[in-house]
Amino acid sequence: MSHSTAAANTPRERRRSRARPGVSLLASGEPMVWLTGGALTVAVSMIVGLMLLVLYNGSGTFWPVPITRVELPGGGRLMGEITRVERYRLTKPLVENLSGPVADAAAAKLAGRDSVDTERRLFRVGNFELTQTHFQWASDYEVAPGSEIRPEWAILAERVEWGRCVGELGQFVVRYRRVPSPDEEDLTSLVQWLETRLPAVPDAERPPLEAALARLRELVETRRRDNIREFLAQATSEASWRAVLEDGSEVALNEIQPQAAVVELRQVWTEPAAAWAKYLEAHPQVRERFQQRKHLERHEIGRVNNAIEEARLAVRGAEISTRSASLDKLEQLRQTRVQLDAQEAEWAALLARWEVLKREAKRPDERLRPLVDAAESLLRAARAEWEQARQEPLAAAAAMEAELAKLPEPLRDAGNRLLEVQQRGDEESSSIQRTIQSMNAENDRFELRLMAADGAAVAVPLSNIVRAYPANRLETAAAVGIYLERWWEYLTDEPREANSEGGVFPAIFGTVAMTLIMSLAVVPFGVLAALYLREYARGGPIVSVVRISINNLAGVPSIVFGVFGLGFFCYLVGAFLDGGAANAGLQTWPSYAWYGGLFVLVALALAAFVIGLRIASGERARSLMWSRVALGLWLVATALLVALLFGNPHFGGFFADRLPNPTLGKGGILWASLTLALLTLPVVIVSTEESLSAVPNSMREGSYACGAGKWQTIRRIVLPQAMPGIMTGMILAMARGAGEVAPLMLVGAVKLAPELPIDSSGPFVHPERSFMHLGFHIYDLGFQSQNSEAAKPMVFTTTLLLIALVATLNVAAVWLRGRLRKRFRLGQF
Amino acid sequence: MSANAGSSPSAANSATANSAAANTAAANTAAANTSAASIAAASYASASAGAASASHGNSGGSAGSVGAGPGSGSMGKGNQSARLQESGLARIARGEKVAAIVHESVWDDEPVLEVENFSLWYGEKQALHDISLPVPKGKVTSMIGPSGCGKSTLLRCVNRMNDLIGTVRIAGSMKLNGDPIYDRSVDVIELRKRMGMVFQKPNPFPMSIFENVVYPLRIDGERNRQTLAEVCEKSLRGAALWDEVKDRLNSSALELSGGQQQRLCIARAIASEPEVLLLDEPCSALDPIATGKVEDLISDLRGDYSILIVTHNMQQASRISDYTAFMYLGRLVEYGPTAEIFTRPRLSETNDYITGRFG
Repeated sequence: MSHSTAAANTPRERRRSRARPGVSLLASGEPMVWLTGGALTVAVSMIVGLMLLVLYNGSGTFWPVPITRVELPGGGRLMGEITRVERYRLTKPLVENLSGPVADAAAAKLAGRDSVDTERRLFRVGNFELTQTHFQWASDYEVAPGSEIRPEWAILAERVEWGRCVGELGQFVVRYRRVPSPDEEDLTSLVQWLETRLPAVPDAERPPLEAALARLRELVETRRRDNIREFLAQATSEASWRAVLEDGSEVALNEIQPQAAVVELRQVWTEPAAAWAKYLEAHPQVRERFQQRKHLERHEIGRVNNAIEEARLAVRGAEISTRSASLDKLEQLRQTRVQLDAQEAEWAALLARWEVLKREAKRPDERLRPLVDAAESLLRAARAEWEQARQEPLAAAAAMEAELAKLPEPLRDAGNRLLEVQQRGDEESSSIQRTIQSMNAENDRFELRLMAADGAAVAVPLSNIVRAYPANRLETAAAVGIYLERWWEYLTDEPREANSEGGVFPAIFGTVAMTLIMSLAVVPFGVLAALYLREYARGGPIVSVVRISINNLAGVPSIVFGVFGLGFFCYLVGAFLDGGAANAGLQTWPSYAWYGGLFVLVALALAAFVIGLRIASGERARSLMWSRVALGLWLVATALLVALLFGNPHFGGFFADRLPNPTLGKGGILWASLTLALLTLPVVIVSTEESLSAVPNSMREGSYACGAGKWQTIRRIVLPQAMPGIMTGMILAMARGAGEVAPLMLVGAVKLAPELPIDSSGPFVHPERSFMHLGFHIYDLGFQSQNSEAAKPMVFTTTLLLIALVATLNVAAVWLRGRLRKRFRLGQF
Repeated sequence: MSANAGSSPSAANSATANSAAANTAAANTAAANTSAASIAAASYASASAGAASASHGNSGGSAGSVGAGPGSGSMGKGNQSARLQESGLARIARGEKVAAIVHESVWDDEPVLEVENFSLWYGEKQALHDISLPVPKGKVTSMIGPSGCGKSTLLRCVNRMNDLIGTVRIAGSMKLNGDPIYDRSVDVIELRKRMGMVFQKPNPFPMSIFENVVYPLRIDGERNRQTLAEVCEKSLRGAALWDEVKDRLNSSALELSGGQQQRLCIARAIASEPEVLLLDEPCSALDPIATGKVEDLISDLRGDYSILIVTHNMQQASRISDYTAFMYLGRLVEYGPTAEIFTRPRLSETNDYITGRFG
């Protein structure tokens, strides 16, 4: 040791020992490898961890879980899916807070100790209308020993209303309502009419009529009984049949009295397997009809309403242009006409019923004769009353029509059209309503009856069931089927139950549409701006300031952009487009000043243009001064143009007829996209500039040397080579935009907007509509939901979906970029 | 940078100083003199141990004394001798006006390009001094000289590539077939279409071979497939590349080797039938074999095209060119038929340069 120390004292020895490899850790670089590698590992594992968490939680949401039933000490029962298991420490104070049988069970669990580890499980019990809760905790000491079972026929039904229903399969019921024959109905109403009219008949003539009426009643009764007999005959031996009487009592078929007024037959399956088989058979048809009905309600009635609204807006527009009012009067006139029409129809129906009676009387039944004979006088009296009742509305209608005729012509035409459209619309929608009602009646015939945990019966109409399955009887294949079906519903359907159930299709659509519109807006602008900065602008302090400002723009909090978007796009530009300058709270110019301003603008622009031309053609010596003058003129002209545009006294807005309801003057997908475009502009500009500067100058020089102009060089040489970089910028911008939520809350994203921005009505594209957005949906589910426990898994699922969506958009863009690169390598431009 | 003289490393320092001196236009100050002397010394002397100090001044330089020890002067190292002191190069380096020797025989051929009293400044820095030379039609004219002597600058002035630099100012004139190049009414784009240019490094565009060749026609809006194909074949044949690429015209030009790429650039340059072909050290980035092919090609193009070539390689100049111009520090020194320049130059400085004793 001492030897070597001595040797190391000579400088050469010292150097040699230092240079020996492996002696200095820093020199060998090993620590840096570990440091850098470790940093990467930590970063990657955090990202992967997050992804796995989202993937695990998000993908498990839709898996059908078995239903467990337990008995509680108080005699209650819990039945439902177990969604979570937690361990906690049961302590004495906790137990002291309890009371009743639960306290005893807890004390027994504690067994004199201070505290003990215990477990509790969260049951998704469903049946909110009965239990007033969706979830319930059960600690393990609460569960009666040995009471935990999985009932074989436990059914989980996802309902359109009231959320999930959990119960054991009780019955499957199909109802058949008796349909009275048309004659029976006509005669019944005639009897009712006669009962109101007869007291007005002079006493002398009444007795024969009374007798005839009694005969008529008998006749009706016979008709009904025939009908009931026929009705009952259709009951087959299959399953058990029950009849429902007028008073609502239910009797077995063989116990029916001959006189019993049966209104309904019920076919009931009580054996679970058979009931379930019947349910499976009936449900798809019911569901189909339900969807048809929904379609009718939304699209057909929506179409009718749109037509009426359009006509109404036309009237409103005519009102604005003619400065007069008519809508109230039109509405009154319409109502009066509706009333008159109803009276008309009533009279016609009455006459038709008399015809039925006359037909009956022609047969050898003399006892009805007096009624037929008295018909004319009865009807005459009624007619007189009817006409009396009509006089006032008729006069009112005539007066209103006269008034309408006095209105200015465009308004009168629009008003007449509105009345016409309304009448047609009323007819159409009432026919649609009839269809819907018949569908509903048909659907209401089917009913699934479940037994809730506490034994209460829950009747679920089949039309209310989205999906039901016997959770404890599912085989793997069936479970996978339900899992996939739920995913499909999630991806293609609209939300239900305050967004915690159903699908998110509108949100997917809104997110994608918004991202695409945003890209369409931001990429051309960003690329043009970057082109100017990099290719045309001469470097200098101004360019540096612009560049720094753009970079700083990227650091502005996104909510600030939201506020700006709301203030500028919605409340200024939107309101201006809606109803002109006054609506946007701007001062309009007096007319003469405006035209004067227009003249000045044209003069300024012309002057600037001429100066620009002269600079372009020469005058080198003075070009700097003159170009400054031209620039100044252009700036002034632009400012004047904006002032003229927004101060225009002759522009009344495109949607003035809809005011005070804003059309563009509120949040919508267009404004949201433009706001995000502004937000992502720096990303595009910076990355485009980078890619432009990466194009070697030798390429540009080569192109110039071939005689290409500046723009030709940019278009043919620079842009194609920069395209992958520009695409990268677009990808970054899209990723940033699709994941942004805060500004959207202000400029158009809403909790629920089933109407998509693109649909089959009107101009087909509705950029003014509010929209749903996945990011906002996550926020809404996570923090605004009534049923937060049920919404929690949906938060993960939606997050997973959003990530997948952004990844898909990115992959698509990357693929496009790869294709561009390839094309460009192969040189097929 | 343009006036940065001296190609040998030992002269770098003094060259910088020299250029600075020249730029301040204080041509006759003692400091400038010294530095000019020192550059000359550094260039000519075979062994330069000492350093010329500023105090030596003009007379000191003429004495041919060896400089003081290290650190005594900031102007660089070098020997000085009376002979060198009086040489044209030294006078040029001092910033004096030296008349260029232009052999009378260059006027034998009709000039395609005439440069008349051409000067150029990069900002405050003058890079070309009063250059006049004719470029004969149908011949190969080469420009030689040490790095930074302005030959590339002059070449780039011919098709006004220097317009792209904002700070450039020029004086004098150039004429292409009698038409002025620097005139306010001249459309630069149209002017460039009359010339072809090939750069130091091959710069094929990232397109197919075909598109590369027809690029000058494309930007003119030519769409006729037939015309394009004909021009492509003709140009590629002209550039002796046709046989190598005729089967893969649609593959990327970037897949070609360096030499092929450079010949492709030549093909592109001759696609528009230029009146003059400008080659800016076309072989400097190529290996000897590729260089040989390009040189053969230039020889083949002689007669059909007027070629102005800048080269560092004197052998190359002597092999391929009909006329040679020797430039130094932004000035034309001697211009004449290549044979005369290389065998019996009128100036001894030219002789020194071509024999490698300087530069």
